[in-house]
Amino acid sequence: MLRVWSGRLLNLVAASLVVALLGVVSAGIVFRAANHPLSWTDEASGYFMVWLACAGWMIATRRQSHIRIRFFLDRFPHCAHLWTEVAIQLGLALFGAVIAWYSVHLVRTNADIEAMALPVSVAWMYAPLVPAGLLTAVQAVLRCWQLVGKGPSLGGGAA
Amino acid sequence: MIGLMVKISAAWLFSILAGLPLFASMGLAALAFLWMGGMPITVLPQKMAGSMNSFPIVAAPLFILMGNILGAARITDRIVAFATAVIGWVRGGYAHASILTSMIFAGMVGSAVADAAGSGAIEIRAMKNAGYKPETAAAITAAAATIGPIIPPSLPMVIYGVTADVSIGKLFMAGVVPGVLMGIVLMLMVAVIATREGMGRKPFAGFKAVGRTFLDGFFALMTPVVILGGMFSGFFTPTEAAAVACLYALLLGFVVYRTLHLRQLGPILVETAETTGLVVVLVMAASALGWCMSISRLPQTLTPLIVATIKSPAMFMLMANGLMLVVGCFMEALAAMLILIPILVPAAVQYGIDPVQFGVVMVLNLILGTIHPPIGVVLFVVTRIAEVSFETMSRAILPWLVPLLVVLLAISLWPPLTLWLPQMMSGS
Repeated sequence: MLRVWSGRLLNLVAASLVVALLGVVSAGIVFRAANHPLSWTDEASGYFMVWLACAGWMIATRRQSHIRIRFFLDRFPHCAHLWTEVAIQLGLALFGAVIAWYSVHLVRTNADIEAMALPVSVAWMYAPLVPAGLLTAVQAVLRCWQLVGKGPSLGGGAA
Repeated sequence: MIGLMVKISAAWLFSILAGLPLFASMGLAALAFLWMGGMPITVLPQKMAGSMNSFPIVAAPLFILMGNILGAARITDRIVAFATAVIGWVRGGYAHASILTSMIFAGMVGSAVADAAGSGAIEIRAMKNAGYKPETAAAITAAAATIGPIIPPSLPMVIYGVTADVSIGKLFMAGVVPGVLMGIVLMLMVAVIATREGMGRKPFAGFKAVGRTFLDGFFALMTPVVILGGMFSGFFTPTEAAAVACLYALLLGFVVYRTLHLRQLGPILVETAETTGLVVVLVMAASALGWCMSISRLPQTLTPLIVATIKSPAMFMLMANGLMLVVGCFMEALAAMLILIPILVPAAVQYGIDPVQFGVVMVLNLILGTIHPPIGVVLFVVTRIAEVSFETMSRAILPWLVPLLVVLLAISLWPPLTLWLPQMMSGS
């Protein structure tokens, strides 16, 4: 149940970010054409882009659709395939954990610095990396658990 | 530092081949370099987020959104009808129409997969009904789909432009002539094999039919004009053109053709976000790794070595083409591009090759990998649509690679084919 609702929430956030990005870029064109150029649209679109990138990264992580080369892995014997997959998931968990941990550090460091044109903290640019890294790490640990035969199925596409 | 980066690069390539997701393999390689080099790890998330905080990269999700809206609004039906009315009456007419459709559709979407999936079903069905062999129909569709990322807009060109710091507008202009050339050589190929394969012809439906299908698809056919006209006239930047194209696509779907429903919007937006995530997370990780590479001075060391080993620019181009074709056969095009840009682009510049020309050459090379076994994504798509085996398809596509390779060779060795239009438009 938690997985379903968190998935819906993530989809809603991601869809809203796409709309926001389109809205901000369009507003920049319209106001410029009307001889009232807005100073903040470029910066705002950059912030929305970071958030959208991380939301898309999270959706792709949940659906296990990230781009990877399976050509050689699929030709491994069963046992080698299993343990290589476990090693891959551990690598993903490490990467996700490092990103989440050091992004928290970046958010703290930049909390007091204000953006150039927007009245927001620069920390907002690094903030979405925290959930993206965390989700990557948690999903990879759960997948490891599933692979060694104790965990529940995670759904999604082929890993 | 160079020794460390060489060892890490070897481990990184091994991890890619072992099946680690590409973004994580690049991220972990950057992490290993920072950790072993005694540098702050915060550089990794900082560079990743920083690479997204740029206006040109915003074009990527917007072009993806536009492609998704046009696909859901079934705009392709009208373009296929128009192309068939224009050229369907010559021998092998459905094949010619398929190529013409791809050329027009290429001006709307920037990806070969979107092109093949969007118009492939209608084109292949029409060709099969006209008595074409299923594998020939699928091969023609797949070969024509490679025009998608060459004629602007083009998602791979946006990624190349952002990563190699090259004007996306100039890259888009540089793709026009090679894209048209690809269409022409594929049509010549159809003309050559039409009699041998027994491809039929249907009677000319008349100028009335051409006019009717043109009017029916007029607003859809105007999409490339809106995108390219706005961009090339200097009214929009490529990113803004992408936003305008999205709004235009929504207008077509909801108001003009009424083929789009509100309930479709949610899945379109989520699919856009997912595809964006898949693509740009690679750019994020590649940006961090690229920074590590430049700190290690690996490209700066490799470039003089390459220049000292290979004497002429033409020879470098041929060697680079060979490398990119091989890499493109085994790796997803965007990922391969992000890996090869830091190595090949500085070397190309050293030889005096314009990075705009090199960008178009690189995109075409890597896109050819999508219609080539063993990891041809477009080939998989058309195989499923045409209901033929992948083995049959792998053989059927081979002759169609020849004309595309001829274009690749021409744009590699004769710069005006790519650079004439951007130079003329910018007045330099």
